[in-house]
Amino acid sequence: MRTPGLRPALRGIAVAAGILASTSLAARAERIVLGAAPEAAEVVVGCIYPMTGRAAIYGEDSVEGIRLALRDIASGKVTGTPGPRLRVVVDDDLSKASYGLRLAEDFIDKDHARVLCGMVSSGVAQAVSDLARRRSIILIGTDHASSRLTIEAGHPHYFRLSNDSWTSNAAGARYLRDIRASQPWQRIAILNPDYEYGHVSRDDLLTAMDGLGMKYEVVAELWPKLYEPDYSTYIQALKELKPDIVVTALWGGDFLAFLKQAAAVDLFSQMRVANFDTGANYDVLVQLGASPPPGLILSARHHNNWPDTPGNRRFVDDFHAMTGRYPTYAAEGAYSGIVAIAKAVAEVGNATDDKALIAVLEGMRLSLPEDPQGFASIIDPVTHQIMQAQAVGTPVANDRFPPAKAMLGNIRAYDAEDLRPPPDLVRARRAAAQPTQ
Amino acid sequence: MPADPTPGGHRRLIRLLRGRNLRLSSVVGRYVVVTVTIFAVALVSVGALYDRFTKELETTLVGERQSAQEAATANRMAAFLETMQYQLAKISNYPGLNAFLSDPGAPATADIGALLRLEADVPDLYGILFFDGDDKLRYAVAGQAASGPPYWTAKGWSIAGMPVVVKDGVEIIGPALPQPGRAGWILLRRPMRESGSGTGGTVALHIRLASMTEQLDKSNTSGIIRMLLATPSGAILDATGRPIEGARELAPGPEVLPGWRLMRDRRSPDVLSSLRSARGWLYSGGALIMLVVVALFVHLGLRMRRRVDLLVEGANAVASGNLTYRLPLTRKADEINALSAAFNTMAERVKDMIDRTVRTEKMAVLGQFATGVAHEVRNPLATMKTTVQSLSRDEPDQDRRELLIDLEAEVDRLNRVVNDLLTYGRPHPAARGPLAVRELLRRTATLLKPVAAERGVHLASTGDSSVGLLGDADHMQQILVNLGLNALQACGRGGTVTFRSRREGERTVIEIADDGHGIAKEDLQRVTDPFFTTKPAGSGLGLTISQQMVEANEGTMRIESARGVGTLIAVSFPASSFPASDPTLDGTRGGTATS
Repeated sequence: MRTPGLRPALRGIAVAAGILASTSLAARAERIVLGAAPEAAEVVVGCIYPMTGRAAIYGEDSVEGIRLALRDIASGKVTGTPGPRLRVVVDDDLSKASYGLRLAEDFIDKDHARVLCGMVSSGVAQAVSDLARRRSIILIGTDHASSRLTIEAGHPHYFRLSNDSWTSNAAGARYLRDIRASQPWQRIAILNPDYEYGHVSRDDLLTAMDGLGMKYEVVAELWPKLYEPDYSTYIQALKELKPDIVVTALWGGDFLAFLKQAAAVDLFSQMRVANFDTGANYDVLVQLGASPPPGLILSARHHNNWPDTPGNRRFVDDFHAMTGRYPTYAAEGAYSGIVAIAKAVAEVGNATDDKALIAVLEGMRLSLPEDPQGFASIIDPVTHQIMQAQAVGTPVANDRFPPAKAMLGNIRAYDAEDLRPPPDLVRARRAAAQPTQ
Repeated sequence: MPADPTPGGHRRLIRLLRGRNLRLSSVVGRYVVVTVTIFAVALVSVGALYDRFTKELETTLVGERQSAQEAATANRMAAFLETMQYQLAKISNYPGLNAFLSDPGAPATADIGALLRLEADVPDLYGILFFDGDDKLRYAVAGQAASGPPYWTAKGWSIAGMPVVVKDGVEIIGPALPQPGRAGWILLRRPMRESGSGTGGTVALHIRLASMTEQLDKSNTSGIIRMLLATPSGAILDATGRPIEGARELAPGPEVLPGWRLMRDRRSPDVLSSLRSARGWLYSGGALIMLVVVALFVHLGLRMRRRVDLLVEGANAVASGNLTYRLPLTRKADEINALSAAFNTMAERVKDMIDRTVRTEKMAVLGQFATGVAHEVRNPLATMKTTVQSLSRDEPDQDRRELLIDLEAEVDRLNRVVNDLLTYGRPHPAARGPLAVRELLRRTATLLKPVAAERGVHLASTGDSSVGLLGDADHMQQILVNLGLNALQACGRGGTVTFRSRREGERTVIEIADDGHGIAKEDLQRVTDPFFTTKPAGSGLGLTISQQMVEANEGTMRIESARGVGTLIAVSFPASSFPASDPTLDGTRGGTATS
């Protein structure tokens, strides 16, 4: 006997199947192939980035970061001699886990990728990391930041080459502690996107603050959805709650949309707004213009004007020469990921011995654009999370990187070792994790 | 009566003003009271109008928007739930779900897994959950918003005890209210098609609670009405999905689901609190301005009081006979200063008038006396002179004749004194006419030349020879001769007496200056008194008669003198043109005359 809902259900399945079937076709329209030809490639790397929608700039800059990394690898700047021949295939996940998973499977099964990389959304990364675990494929994260991926959900095949939510929020907590004497605050509000990254960022911030023995009051936790088009409800709530500081993990187009709406209703004259993970990204600074709202506290995983080292200047200048624009932090993350893969393959001598590659990656030291003078980034062998310094500051007038008219200034920099999650915390969080499937 | 907000305020104000010597009966005190009263009445009136306007505004806005907003909100919420219900129905009817749930990793069911992930991949969904017949979670498909339980761990996650309502065969479970670190959620659940009568399995959409409550705020553009959502658990949620805190007066709106009802918060903190706050600021600002006005008036009043006290003091001083009292003047061009200046002018004129009256009366008495004496003395003097002249002609003895001649000279001098007395006592009225000053000076010089030559004093005239004055010719001549003689007598040999004339506006001034011994300071005020003289042979009437004649011709006389330096006497008369020029004085302007 047919149920009344059967016909619509069948139609739904047909439509959904069609969508998924067309995913490859649609994505292939955005597919970008870089590096060596298939027959010459020593290793194929499949990278997944958003190339459309609010987060598209992250994908576009990641592609250019990969292109720059491949150039440096080929010229011997990474390994001393011309490095391994990498073939990098990039495709658009539309910021959706379902698409990302399908792309990752295609990279493994059809492109014979030995390594996966990328992902901006922690939700997508969560799904792809789970696939990497199941398929025993090394995954190099370059942009997503949920610390859960390296702590609770960490596995031998997953590494991350960009700062995570713990690093950023540990730096942010220290910044809040350090400014307290001169700029007293007590009440904070959380305004984070309602998904994995937003929730973990909140936990990381409060855990870091608790770890520093800080006293504070959380007056509200607000959870707008990812890609929220209208923040007026939440801005109104903030105006009524009157916190001293709003700490937000909104990122990309979401943060830009929030800034526009908040400035329109004069929110910044009533409270400070801090974004410790993505707020000082170059695209945000461009939008701030010559007169940033007062009270902003920002940081990001890479800055074009910090550290002022030859390595960072060369990276930023090379990127600008290649693309005609200055990079967002996504470029440096992707650059770092590809450099790490090349370095590991070069050290092992081939890309087929995963165990050897993992062993090399664990504890690997890399000299990256983000490293201050005299410091090299290192991949934590316990969490597989790269450990890097982080700079927190406020936007100040600076037209060195047009079209931005403000860059991060009044910087307080925090050492990588200080930002490492305490071993006890890592153990406790991993012990508490209990997968349901 | 000022509208004072506190009963004791008026009395305190009075005490303050009295304590500061500023009584309410004073002009300033009345100004204070009137101003404060007007201001308070205006403030209360504006406040009343403001309240009325606010209420009308609220009524208008709320009334016009309430129905539309409620209907729109209910429709949006219904549409959102219908979309979710449609998606749930679609998923629940997927064939092969049981097979997928039996082995989610099996390649044969991979497409179902992919389809479920695609369905879950929207920002409104934490995921898709599958339950067995005992409400035990069987499997969770993470959606785009997935985080924490039940996706990464099931610890502590359960739907036991949560409110459940049913609509159109769909269970609405929840809400699970927000917890620290986690947002709120609801489940829309229905049986799986394939569950049949065997397994009793259900599938649920795990939906962000905020995705539902955000629908409350979409049309709330005015901020007047805030829509809230009452849930079966009793919690009332705002648009961010958080339960509101504190008691509120809410009006029920339409039901969107069984047990889920829209609520109207008509006193949204947005606009109305702004209006209330503005009213508070209005009253506070008005009260502050009123205080400032009172303080300002008290300050000004005290300052004015001090200055009025000075005026009163001055008036009392003048009233008690101190005609030399003068009020201090400031640089301010205000009314009090003008009044002080007028007071001083008045005091000066009163003193002048009194002085003049006293002098006139004194002169009148003296005149009568002098006239009587002169009449009695004049005829005997004439007899005495005739007798002495006769005796002297017949006196052969040279010594005796010289004594008689001296006696005759004394009789002549006595006769002059008598003539002076008669002149003083019976001054003939001034017959004023235009006079040329140079002619007056020329004649004066002619008359004084012999005396000047005898005393070896240089006599000079200078100034504007074209000026004229209006006066009695005889009086003028006598004035100038008197003053000139005094000046010559004050000078030693080789001294200089200078006549200077000039025009000063509507007046003609003639100065008689000498470089003689001058007048002692203590004598200066008395030199015009009758019979006051410092000269051994003076009658003490020359200056008195001169002043008398000056005043008779509407003139003034000013005397400046310094001991050992000299004396300057300036007489001033109404200026006039004169008919014909007489070149005999000096012929030129600014020239000098004879010695």
